[in-house]
Amino acid sequence: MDISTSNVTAEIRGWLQENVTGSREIPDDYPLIESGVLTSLQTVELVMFMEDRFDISVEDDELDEENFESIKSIAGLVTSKTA
Amino acid sequence: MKAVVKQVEDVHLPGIDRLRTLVYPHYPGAYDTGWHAKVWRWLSSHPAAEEMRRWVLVTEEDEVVGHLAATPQYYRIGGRRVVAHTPADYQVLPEYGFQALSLMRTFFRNAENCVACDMIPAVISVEERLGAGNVGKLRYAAKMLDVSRLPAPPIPAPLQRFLKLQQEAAPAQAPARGYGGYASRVGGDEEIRQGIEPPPVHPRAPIPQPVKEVLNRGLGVVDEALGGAFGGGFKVVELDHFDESFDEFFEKVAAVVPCTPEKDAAFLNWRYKGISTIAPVTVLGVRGEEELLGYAVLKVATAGPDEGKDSGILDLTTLPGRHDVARALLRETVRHFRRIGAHIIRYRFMSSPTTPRKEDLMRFGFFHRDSRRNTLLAKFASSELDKIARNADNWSYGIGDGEATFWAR
Repeated sequence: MDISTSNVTAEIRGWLQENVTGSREIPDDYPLIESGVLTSLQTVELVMFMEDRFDISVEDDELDEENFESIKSIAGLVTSKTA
Repeated sequence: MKAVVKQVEDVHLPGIDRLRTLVYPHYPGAYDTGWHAKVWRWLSSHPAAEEMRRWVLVTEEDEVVGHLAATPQYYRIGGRRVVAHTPADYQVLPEYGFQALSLMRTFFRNAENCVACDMIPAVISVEERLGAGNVGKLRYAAKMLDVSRLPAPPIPAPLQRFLKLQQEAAPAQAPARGYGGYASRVGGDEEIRQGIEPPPVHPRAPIPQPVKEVLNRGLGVVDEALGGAFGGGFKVVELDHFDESFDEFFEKVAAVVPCTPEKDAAFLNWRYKGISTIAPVTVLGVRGEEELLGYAVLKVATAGPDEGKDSGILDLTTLPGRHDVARALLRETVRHFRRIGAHIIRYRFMSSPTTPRKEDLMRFGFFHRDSRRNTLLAKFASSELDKIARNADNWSYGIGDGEATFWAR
């Protein structure tokens, strides 16, 4: 499945707004972990959403701060798996 | 907000003590560093203690912001003796929630086999995500011995406002396992503590003392009648320690039940006697002519607001299928806790041929609760053992068998 980065970014942002931040706007490079927005449980739920929505598999060793530090990096992880 | 996982060294111990007070600020036991040191001394006396691992999550400034241990235990799975680790004393400051995942990943990378018994959905989700199978939920049965434990009837919100009733804060509720509050960090330790909500108090029904006494006497009469009717003719005795008959008993259980913690005499003496921080416990036993038929391990709270009132069955195991023995043990359990003035008996266990049946518990006045049930999770490196261990029907497991009650007082 080839999905554009902008679509993935929009989907990730939508999920975060629905499940974590409410209506608050989050810039694509906003530090989700450093600012404490994303907890471990939310990360697990986000990964489940990503796997289901984009038909990908996220490995345990990909659950690190670099891959989840911002919407941009999460979208990068997804697109690298769908390209 | 970078933090890295490190193996625990002596230099981290004060930081772990401080972390506990930040995660559980409303629990007085969190400040009792001496008692927690005793728990770790006791855990270090386990025969497989050299396989115990502990990790901390530390910031660049060497501040401890998370902790997780892997405590080893022997299990008998599919006839094979194996060591499995349990995630223990999992605590992370709320704003390091993402890094809590790193601690648990470290656990799963190091633990070949895992058995966990948890109640907090966040912890269970993380454990499942990292490969543990959800075996099933433990049953939660409870029996009231004193009407003081009856909850207050719900009061409509307008009446609450009219009477200016507010939910009180609990002074000393025992913490749930795992990382607790979800406050945002805004400043120093005191601000973190203040940012974490205290657990709510469940108000009790305002029953006048003379009425309570009459009702409690009535409950006692009913319990004696139930015990006489359903408790069977077995003699139940109090045992000082776990002797070699418990080794034979365990082998008979393990020959029938495919999955169980290895509860031989050595384990039971380590778990409940000697320097175990859960001691003192009361052990009841039923003996046949030549063998042990079943036993129960009983505990009444020795600290906190429910000291002497909150009681529990940590373990009740019979030879497979001996429901008559289970009923006799239940009869004496109720008598014992009533005699010492306990208000409520709690019992959490996986239903199996070695435990009382649901209908027998109901005959003795236990009611079953769907909330606050523990989930058993398992992961074994051998696919053969893993398949066996993920089936709830294969297990004999009680709340006293593992880490879920290691910090009980």
